[in-house]
Amino acid sequence: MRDLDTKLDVVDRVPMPDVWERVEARAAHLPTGGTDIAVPRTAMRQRVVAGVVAFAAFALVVALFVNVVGGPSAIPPVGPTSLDTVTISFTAQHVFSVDGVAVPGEMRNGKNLTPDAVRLIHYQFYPDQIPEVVPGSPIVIEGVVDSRGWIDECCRYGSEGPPRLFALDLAGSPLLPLEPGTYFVELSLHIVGWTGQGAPGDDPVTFMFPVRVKAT
Amino acid sequence: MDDTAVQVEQRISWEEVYRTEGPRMWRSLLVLTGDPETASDAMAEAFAQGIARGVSIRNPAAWAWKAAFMIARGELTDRPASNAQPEEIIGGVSDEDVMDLLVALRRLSPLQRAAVVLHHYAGYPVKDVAQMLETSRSAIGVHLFRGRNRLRRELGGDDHA
Repeated sequence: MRDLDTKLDVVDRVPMPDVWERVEARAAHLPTGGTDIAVPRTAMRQRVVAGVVAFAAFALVVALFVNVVGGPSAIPPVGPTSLDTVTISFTAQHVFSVDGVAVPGEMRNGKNLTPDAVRLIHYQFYPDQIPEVVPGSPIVIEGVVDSRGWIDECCRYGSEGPPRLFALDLAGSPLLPLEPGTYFVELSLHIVGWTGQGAPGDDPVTFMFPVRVKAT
Repeated sequence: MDDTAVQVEQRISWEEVYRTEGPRMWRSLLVLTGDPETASDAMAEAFAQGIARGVSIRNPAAWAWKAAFMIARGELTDRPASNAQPEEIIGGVSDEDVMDLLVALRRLSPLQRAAVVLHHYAGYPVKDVAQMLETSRSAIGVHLFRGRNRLRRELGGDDHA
């Protein structure tokens, strides 16, 4: 679009607030040194955690009350009783398993897999083969040099990929969502031994695995 | 030069970057996030981290742009997209062109928006945009192509880029 630059320039008419005071106030409380960019977690996440904790406490109080008034079996137990472990292993073939059991599936566009040609790989599953797991199950990723991961909205296949719901903390203990539903686990990574993609500076390959979080 | 003098000098240098790059950076972030508060937050956090990192950053302007966009994109993944009306975004100023543009940009995916604003508004070459958004040049090319087509449909205009 020849005139797109000009069209975007109208944004210059929006008045900018002075945020330098905010910069100085924040800088005083940050650790010094290094060059890494830290992406802070927002208060939103803290509010969600606080909300979950508050709801759990409320549910416990209600459960105790109902136990006293209505008998021991008045409401079902709250939350999962055991977690599944979702393991995605790139040590040999990329294998997707739940609690050590491989999930059958095949690469949708990987039959002629060459590191130069493939950037996005979808695993294809039949609906009854999409693994079902307990809410909040942990995700383990093996055989990866460097990776980033996201939980995506399911299930719009498209060249641009589905919208991301949240980033996975792969350095910590990544978990599946608590909310029941079908999701994609999207991994953008460098695989050990893949020529041209085995080092953090190379272009990563993106894998997408569907997973269904079942209702408790 | 003692430590205090070095810190003061660094802060002045970051403030110069803020004065020269800030307005364009803030408006780029505004277009990306659709929310003035998120744009201000991301920019303030980027500059604050830059000041805290000190002399280890060789190119403060480039670092600040990359940091601000990474932080803003983190915000977008953590919180739902803003529902603020364009009138609220531009502080009650009645400007039809700006409002049309902001509404049209909302139809783009976050990556398309980021690529379009960094390339067409901030003026960065595709190579730098790819580095800032941590993806490949070919991916940025696709986002730009689709983003431009979408904007063309929304706003009308020629497509000769």
